[in-house]
Amino acid sequence: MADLPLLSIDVSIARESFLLECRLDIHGKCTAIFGPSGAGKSTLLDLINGNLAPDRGIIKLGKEILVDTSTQAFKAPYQRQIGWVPQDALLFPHLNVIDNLLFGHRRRRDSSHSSPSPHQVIGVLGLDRLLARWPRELSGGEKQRVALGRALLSNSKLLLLDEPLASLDAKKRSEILDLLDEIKHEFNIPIVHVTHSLAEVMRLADQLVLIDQGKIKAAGSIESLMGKADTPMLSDRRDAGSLLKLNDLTLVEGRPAVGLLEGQSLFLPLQAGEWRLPARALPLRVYVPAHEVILALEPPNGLSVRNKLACRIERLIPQTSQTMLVELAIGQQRLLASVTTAASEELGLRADLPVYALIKSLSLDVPAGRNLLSDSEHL
Amino acid sequence: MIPTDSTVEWQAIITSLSVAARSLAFTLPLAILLGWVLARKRFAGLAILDALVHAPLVLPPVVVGYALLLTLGVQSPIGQWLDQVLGVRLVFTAEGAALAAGIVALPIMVRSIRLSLENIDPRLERAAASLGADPWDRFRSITLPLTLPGVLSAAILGFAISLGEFGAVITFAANVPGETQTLALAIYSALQIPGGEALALRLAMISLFIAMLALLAAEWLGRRAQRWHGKAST
Repeated sequence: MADLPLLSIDVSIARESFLLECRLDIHGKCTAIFGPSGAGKSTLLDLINGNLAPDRGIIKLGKEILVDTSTQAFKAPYQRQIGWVPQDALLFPHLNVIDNLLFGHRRRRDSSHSSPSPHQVIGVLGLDRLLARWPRELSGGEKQRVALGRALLSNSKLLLLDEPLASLDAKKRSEILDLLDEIKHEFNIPIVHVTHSLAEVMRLADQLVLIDQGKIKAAGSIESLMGKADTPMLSDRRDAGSLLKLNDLTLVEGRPAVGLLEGQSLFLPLQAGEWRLPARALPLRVYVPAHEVILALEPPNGLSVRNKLACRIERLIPQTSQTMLVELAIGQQRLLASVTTAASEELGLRADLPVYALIKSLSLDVPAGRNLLSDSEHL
Repeated sequence: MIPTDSTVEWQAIITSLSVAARSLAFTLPLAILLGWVLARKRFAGLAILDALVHAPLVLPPVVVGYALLLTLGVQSPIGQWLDQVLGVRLVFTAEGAALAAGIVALPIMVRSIRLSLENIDPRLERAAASLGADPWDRFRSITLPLTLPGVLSAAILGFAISLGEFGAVITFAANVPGETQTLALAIYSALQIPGGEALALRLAMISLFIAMLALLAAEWLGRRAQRWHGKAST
């Protein structure tokens, strides 16, 4: 990409259990850093926000040098204008919610870039009722909402989220995910989100960085990485799958929603009711687990499967000793199908072969679906 | 001659309170600084600093007073410099008594503040830094308020120790009525005079009264701080 990266990192640092070596340009509005525990995600985040200095290398935020070991340049964390939301929120226990929220706002350094107003943030995060409360009186989800608001109001150029959902139960996680989605669209602050949850990645991220044992294994747009049959850390997972992008959606009352995928219809597991589609829902992401995709050489008839997508085999990669991962091209998009090696041989699957991918609509997962439906209640 | 009016008592009370207050004025900021350094900083001489700060706790107070006499007495280079350049004389003065009492009280005060600091999650300071707070701002707006119960208890303990300190004060600042003769020293003097038991008893009762008052104040402040901290802590 020719344009200036949001964040440009080329560093190395020795830690107790691994050597983190990272060369990375981050461009996206929301970038997920994904990897298992102990992969070096939090170390990378600490390098970005200045809690750690690299042994060697340079980190730039836009044109601004945050650290450069060759010139001994180092910006202290308080000078970096990088908001940080840790897993346990870290609200200041001696300040009530409003004073926590305004802590960074009162210390803004420059207002050269537009930042959200307290009124906006309190509204979007639904904090009105909590303003006079003390942190100890808040639930885990409420604490995270306040921590998010506090970081948003500090005039940050970048928001770092360090597994902010890890300590929450499923319901609270879903609520905060909705809010993060809202933040992503409402406020013009790029987000770097560290997580080990693929569900969070699929829901929020535009760009994905895969990290393991201190090394960047792959980086790129989420659809491209999830659609490839040989992406390290993703394609060898048992729940390997691809993410399709729908640019159009047809909603008829009482009927399932139908998306348009490169000119073909995709029936979704969402019932269209009396609701209007929020503009930001498009393009809509649909996750297709590879093991839910059936391949056929001819267009089949008499099946209950709603989705029969015409595609072409791009390549076949062995996944396990008994299974193959088939990368299918549907126009510009990629779909993964997992088949046994025996079935692959029987059907004579090979690159460039036109096939039909059969997918039950109930097998599709719409990461933003919950949000769509809950929005419908307000509209 | 045994004084019959209450001059001695009043003098001793005023001297004691003045010495304890002056002692607190210089030991409290020092104790906060040392507590913070010992709790937060890691450097080569840390163990030595720790041992130096805690030495008065294990040394006889007379030794502390004697050490002060050797280092700050008028015969010593530092004492001479203080006297001739700054016009400050510590030996046999109320300031000297405050210094001696303060040094004896310092280790307990540092300990209380340090423990309180160690109970604060240092990542709160990192969170404050990410929100634009510089180091002094972080100390003022996060660390110090969260250490308040420890600082309060250190202040009260320090005041009480200074009030009753005997050995270091008499060695360094002597026993000058109206200048360095605190309640403890006045009781000692009264006991040296034949028939001075009644005065010693009165002074002892006054000491007991002030100590009780300080303890009650400590209890009240402690409860308030606890309530405040309880309200604030997660």
